[in-house]
Amino acid sequence: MSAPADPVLEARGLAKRYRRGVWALAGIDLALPAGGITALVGPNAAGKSTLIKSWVGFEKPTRGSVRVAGIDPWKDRSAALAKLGYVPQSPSLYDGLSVDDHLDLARQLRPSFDRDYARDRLAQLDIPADRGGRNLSGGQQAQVALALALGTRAPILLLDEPLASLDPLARREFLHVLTDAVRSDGATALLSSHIVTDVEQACDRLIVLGVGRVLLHDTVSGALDAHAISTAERPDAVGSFGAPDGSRIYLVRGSADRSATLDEVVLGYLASGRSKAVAA
Amino acid sequence: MSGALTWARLSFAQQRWEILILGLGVVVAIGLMAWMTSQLLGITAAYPECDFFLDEDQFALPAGCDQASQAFFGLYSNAEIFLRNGWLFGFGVGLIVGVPLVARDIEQGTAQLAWTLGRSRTRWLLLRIAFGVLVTVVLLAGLAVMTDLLGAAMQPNDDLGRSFHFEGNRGMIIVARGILALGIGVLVGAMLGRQLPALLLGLVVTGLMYGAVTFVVHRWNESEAVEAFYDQNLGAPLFVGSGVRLASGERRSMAEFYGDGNEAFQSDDGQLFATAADAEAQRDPIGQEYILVIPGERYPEIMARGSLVTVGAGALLMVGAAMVTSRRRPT
Repeated sequence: MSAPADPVLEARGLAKRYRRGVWALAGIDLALPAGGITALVGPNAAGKSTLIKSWVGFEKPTRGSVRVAGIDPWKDRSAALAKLGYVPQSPSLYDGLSVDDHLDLARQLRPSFDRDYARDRLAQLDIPADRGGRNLSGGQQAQVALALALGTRAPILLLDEPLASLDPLARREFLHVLTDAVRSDGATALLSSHIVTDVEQACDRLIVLGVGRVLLHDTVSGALDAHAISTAERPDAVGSFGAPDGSRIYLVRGSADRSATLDEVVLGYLASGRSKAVAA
Repeated sequence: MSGALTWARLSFAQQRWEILILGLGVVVAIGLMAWMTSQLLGITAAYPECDFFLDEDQFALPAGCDQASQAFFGLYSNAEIFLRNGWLFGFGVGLIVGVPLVARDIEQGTAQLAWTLGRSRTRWLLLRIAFGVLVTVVLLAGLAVMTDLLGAAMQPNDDLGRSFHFEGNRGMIIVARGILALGIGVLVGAMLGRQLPALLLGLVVTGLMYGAVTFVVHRWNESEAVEAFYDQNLGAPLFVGSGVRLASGERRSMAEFYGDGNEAFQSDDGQLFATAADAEAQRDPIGQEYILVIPGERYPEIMARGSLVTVGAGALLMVGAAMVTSRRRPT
């Protein structure tokens, strides 16, 4: 995928090694254009959270750099955060604060926080404003975390696996609110997830991350158009994986026996990432 | 103003349990001290003719004074236990309020929320610390005033505003120690990101910092102390050291003087003689023991200085906490 002229999220040669010596990211080059929702897909320990946290300024790159709307969050964190709304992996809300208190807190911390907007969104979901943060269901907590991020009216939203612990209905509602907000506000969202069906419904673009590298970066429609499935072994296959019936299927670029589903595209690239890691 | 009130309300909601428990403890302590103060003042007022502190004249006390004296000193010894251990409140309150200010947010994952909603972690921390300081000062100020009142009731013959009696165990130094412990709590909490380990390590660091601050203040006081002799009427000065002034005028510490193998016979006024006979005859003194003191009238100034050094150390630790917080991960 060609690099956009003015990327809102950018990573150049981004590598991150933790103290244990494990490389979470091993040289990421990415440039995301403004607008729409991009899915960041990958297995556990692929580096999704580390990548998002690098943009938020929680993880300092070991090598390379990241930029948020052209701003390096490690050089000017305040300016970078002004452009960001963030939903963490587990939406940890304050134990002693009600939903309304969280909105007050957000207003205290960021004077530009749009309290009414966030409150309206929560009211539409019938989330009780006077209930303590920790007394809400997982889905409601995720919605509160999303409302807090949306209330910042930031042009870029980073969502770090917010769907992981939600039931299907809560996931659907969450994605509905997110897509609605992104479309109406013209924001850019990066949603990390390992649930591909959610991605297909809500996202415009797709990034597949595996073993700390970008394996695929394309629009969802582009990725579907560009790939097909072969049931016979193909030397040019991107990757292969087992089908539910026990047979082996091969993801290829171009045409083959049948078109690929998004799930199969992602699985093919993840399999390719794994075999590269094994080879390395 | 409404912003500050909202922040105070939200901060209180985040720490309400420890604040309420500490508040209850402080109220109980103040209540007990107030009761002891009123009892002591009551006895003193009821027996104006009795001077309980003139030991040598005890046998000559007017009728009824013996019983009053017994009651007074019974209360006195209980009050002294309170006063001598009152310093624990300062450190305890500061540490218990300070540790969760950053550590709880990290431990419970809410730092991710706070540090991305706000654009400056330093501002967030300053607001958190401001609330912690407010709570610490409010909780300890009443206690500090009460310790002064109790001390005054225990020493009815002294003007405690010009006396080092119960020095370090009463007055605003208790609040200052609370601020120091708050700084330790915030810093250790920010470094460890876990409340219980931070509290335990905070106790150790508090002991070390208390020692360090006490040492600095002591050296400062030592440099300003004046020489006095045991038989001088000193009131209630601050005792900072002692030594021997040789007949030549040279000063020696006690350890140096007696460490040289010197044996000396001391007269009642602290003069030292080479032999018992010399001592008896008050002849050819080889030196005189002296003490280094800061006169009681300097109490307000010395206490204010000690409090400022203590608060300053706490403020430095808070700056350290801000530096750690701005660089660390939120989990």
